[in-house]
Amino acid sequence: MQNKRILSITLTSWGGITLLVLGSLLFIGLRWGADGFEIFIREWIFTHLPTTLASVAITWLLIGWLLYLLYASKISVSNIITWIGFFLVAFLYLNVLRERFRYGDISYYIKAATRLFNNQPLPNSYFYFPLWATLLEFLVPLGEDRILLVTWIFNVISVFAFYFLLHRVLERYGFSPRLAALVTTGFMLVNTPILRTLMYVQVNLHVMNAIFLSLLLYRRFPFVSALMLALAVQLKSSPAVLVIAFLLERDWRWLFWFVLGNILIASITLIADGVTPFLDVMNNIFWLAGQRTAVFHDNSFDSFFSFPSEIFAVSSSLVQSLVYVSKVLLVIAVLFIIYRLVRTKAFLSGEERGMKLFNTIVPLFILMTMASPIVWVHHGIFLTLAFVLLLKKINMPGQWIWFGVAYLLEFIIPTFDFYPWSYGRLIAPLIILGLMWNLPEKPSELFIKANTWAENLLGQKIQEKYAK
Amino acid sequence: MTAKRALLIWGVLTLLVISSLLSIWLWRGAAGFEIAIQRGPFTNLPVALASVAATWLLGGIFLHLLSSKQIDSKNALTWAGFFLVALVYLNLMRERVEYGDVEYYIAAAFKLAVEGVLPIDYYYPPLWATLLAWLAPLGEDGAFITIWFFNLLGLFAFYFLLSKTLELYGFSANLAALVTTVFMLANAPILRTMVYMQINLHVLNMVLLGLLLYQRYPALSAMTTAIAVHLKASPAVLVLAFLLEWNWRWLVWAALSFLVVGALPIVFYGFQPYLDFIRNTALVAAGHGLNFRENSFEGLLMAFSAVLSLPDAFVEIGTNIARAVLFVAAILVMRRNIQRETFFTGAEGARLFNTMPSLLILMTLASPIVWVHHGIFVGLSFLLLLKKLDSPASWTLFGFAYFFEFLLPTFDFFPWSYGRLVAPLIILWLMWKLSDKSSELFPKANCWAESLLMEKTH
Repeated sequence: MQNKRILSITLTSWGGITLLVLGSLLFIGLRWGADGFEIFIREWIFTHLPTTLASVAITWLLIGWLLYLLYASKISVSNIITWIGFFLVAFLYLNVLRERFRYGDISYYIKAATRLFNNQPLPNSYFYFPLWATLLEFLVPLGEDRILLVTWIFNVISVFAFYFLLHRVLERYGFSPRLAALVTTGFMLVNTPILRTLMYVQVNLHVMNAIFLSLLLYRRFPFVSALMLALAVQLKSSPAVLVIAFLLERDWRWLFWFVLGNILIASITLIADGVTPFLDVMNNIFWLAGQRTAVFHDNSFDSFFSFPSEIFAVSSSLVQSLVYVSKVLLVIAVLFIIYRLVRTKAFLSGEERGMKLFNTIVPLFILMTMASPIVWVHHGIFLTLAFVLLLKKINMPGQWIWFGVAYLLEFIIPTFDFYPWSYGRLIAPLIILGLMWNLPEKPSELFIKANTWAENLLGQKIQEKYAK
Repeated sequence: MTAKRALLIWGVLTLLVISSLLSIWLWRGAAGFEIAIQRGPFTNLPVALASVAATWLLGGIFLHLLSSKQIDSKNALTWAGFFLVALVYLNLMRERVEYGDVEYYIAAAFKLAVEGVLPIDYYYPPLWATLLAWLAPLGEDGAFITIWFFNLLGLFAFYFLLSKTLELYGFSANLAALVTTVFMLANAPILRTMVYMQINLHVLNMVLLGLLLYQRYPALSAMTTAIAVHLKASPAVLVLAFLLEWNWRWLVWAALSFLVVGALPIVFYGFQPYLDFIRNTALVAAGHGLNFRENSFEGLLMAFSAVLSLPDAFVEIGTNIARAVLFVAAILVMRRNIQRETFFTGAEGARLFNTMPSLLILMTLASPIVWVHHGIFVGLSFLLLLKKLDSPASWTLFGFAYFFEFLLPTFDFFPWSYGRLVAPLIILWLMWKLSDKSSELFPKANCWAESLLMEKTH
C-alpha cells in the first residue's frame, strides 16, 4: 500500500514536471516568440538540436512509462527481465543517437520524396519500391530537417518495437520468455547492423518488424499477416523471397490476401504519383544489377568478385559468371536446406498450421539478404532469426566456435573497408547456412538447460515444459 | 581442444592480415593502401581500423581465456559483462567521426613541446600535456589515435577496477559484475568521456587504484592518487579522506610521489607550465562562458543572472554560499558515515572508505566547471547507495537522481538541463538519511547473484 502511494506521488511529480516543461515552452513562445527559444535552448558543437531534444523527450517519456508500469503493477517477477532488457536497450540507443549529429542515407530518401513531390522521376540512386518515397512525399512541405526528425523518431519507435517483436518471435520458436528477453537484449546491445540502421536512418527496422508481425499473426489473423508481408515487400523489395515459405504452406487464402495487400499498398503510390515511380524503380534495379563496383563494405558477391577485375586483367564477363554461379549455388543450397527442414521441422516442431512456414523462412532470410546485388552492413538485421534460432540447435564445441566466428563477423565487428578482409559479412551467413545443413530434430541439451535456468533465474521454479 | 584449435586459426588469420599489409606495402608502397583500404562515408579511417583491430584482438583474448580454461562459473558473469561493454563501445567509437576536447589536449601538448608554455584554455596540471608532448613527433593524427587507444584501455580498465572496488565494499563478485555492466552500458557521462576523449577515465582509474591498493600496497596507492591529482587537480579533495586515516606512512609516500610525479614537467619545461596552470585556473575560477549543460553552481547562477539580468555579485556571492553549504554538508555526511560505518565495516581503512563517497560529490560539484562527463566521478557514490536503499521512497529518490545523472542525454535548455547539479545533492541527502539503515534487499541480491551460475547458494 505504501509502495502504491509513493509511486502515485512520483508519477504525479513526473506529470507535474512534464507540465511545467510544456508550460515553460508555451511561456517562451508567447512571451518572446520563436526568438525566445534561441535564448533558452542552445545548440552546441557536435549537436543536432532537433534529434537531441527528441532523444531527451523520449528518454523522459520512457521514465514516465516506467513509473506508470510500476504504479499499475504491470512489472512482476514474470516479466521483469523483459522490461529491464527493454529499458537498457532503449536508454543506450537514445544516448548514442543523441551524440550522432550527421545522418547518412536519409538524404537519398528525401531526394526521392522531393522528386515525387515535384512530379519528377525517382532518382537513379533509389532502389526500393516507391512506397517509402511516397509516404515521405507527404512530409516534403515540412523541409529536410523535419523529415529527418520524423523518420528518426519512427526509427526509434521501430527499434523499441523490434525488441518486443523479436522477443515474441523467439518465444514462438520455443524460447522461454526470460531466455528470449536475455537473448534479445544481448543481441541488440552489441549489434553493428542495428547501429548502422539507426545512424543511417535506414528502413530495415520497419521492414523487419513487418516481417515479424507477419509471422506472429499468421495463424490468428492471416489477413493482417499477409498485409504486413506486403508492406515489407513494398518497403524493400527483397522480402519478396520470403513468400516462398508461405507458398509451401499452400495457404491460398493467405496468398490471396497477400496479393490484395500488395495491390492496396501499391495503390497509395498509384493514386499519389501514378505508374511512373514503379517504372523508375524497375529501371534503377536493372541498372543496379548491371553495375559492378567494388565498395569494400558492400558484402555482396557482386562487390567481392568485382575488385580483382578492377586491379588485374580479369574480364568482366568472368566476374559476371562468378557472381551468377555463386548466386545459383546459394539458391540450390537454400532450397536443399528448406527441403530438409520441411521434413525434420528442426526449428519448430508440431502438427499445427504454419510449421513449414516457421521452419523454411529461416534459411530464406539468408537467401533474401545474400542474393541482393548490394549487401550493406545494416542488411545484417535481416539475418537475425537465421543466427539467433541456431542457438536452439548447436551443441558441439566445434559448432559453437563456427557460430561464434560467424556471429562476430556479422554482428560484432565494426565496419571497415579492407579487401578481402572486410568481406566477413559475406562469409558469415554462409557459415550459418553450413550449420543448418544437418540440424538435429530436437533442441540441444544446452538450450533446454538454458531455458530452464532462465525461468528459474528469479527463484520461480517451472515445469519442464521447454524440454519438449 | 576445439578452443585451442580456434585460437590457432585466429593466430593464423592475424598473421595473414599482417602479411597482406606487408605485401601491399612491398607491392605498391603507401599508395597500395589506398587501393586495398577504402574510406567509407562518415568514417574516420584510423579510428575505424583501430576499432576493428581492437575487436579482433578481443576475440583472440576471448579464445585464449577459453582455451586456457580461465573462464569458469565463478567469473563467467564478469567476463560476459566486460566483453559486452567493450564491444558496445568499440562499435560506438567506430561510428564517431569527430571527437571534441582532445584537440585542446593536443594543442596544449604541442605548444608545450615547441614553446615550453601552456595555452590559456588548458585547465589541468601540466602532467598530461607533458606526457602528450612526447607524441609530438607523431603529428596531430598520430597523437590523436594514441590518445584514442589509451582511452579505450582506460575504459576496459575502469570495468575491472569499478567491479573490484564494489567487491571491496561488500558486493559479491557476480553482483559487482552485473552492476558495473549495467552502469557502464547506458551511461551518458562515460559516453561523453569517450566521444570527447576526455581524461576522466584515467583519473578515476587512478583514484580507484588508490582505494584498492591502500590496504596492501600503500606506496602504490599513494602513487596512483598523486597521479590522479596531477592529471586533474580536483581529486586533491580526496586526500582529505586519506588524511582522516592518520596513516603517516601513506602520507609520506603521497607527498613523495606528488613531488616525483610533479617534477616530470619541471625536468622538461621548468616551472613555467605550473605558472601557466595557476594563471589558467585563476582565470576559469573568475568566470567562464555560459552553457546550460554546464552543471556547476556558478553555471546555474550565471544562467539565472543572464536571463533575469541580475548583477554579477549575485553570481559570485551565490556561488560562494552554495559551495560553502556543500562543503559543510559533505563534512557532516562524512562524519556521520564514519561514525556509523555506513559503507564499509572493517579495521583498516574504514574512515577512508566511508568518507570517499561524499568526497567524490564534493570534488565534482565544488569545481568551477561541471560538464556532463564529470558525472563519472560520482558513479561510486551512487552505486554504493545500492547497499542502503531500504524503502520505496529512497528507491524513488535514488532512481530520479540516477536518471538525471547517467541516463538522460545531455541538452541545453534553461533551467531544465540542470538535473546533473541536483542529482548528486539528492545522493548526498540519501547518504545522510540512510547512514544507519541496512537494506534487506542487498544481502538477498548478493546471494542471488552468487547462486546464478552455481548449483548451491553460498
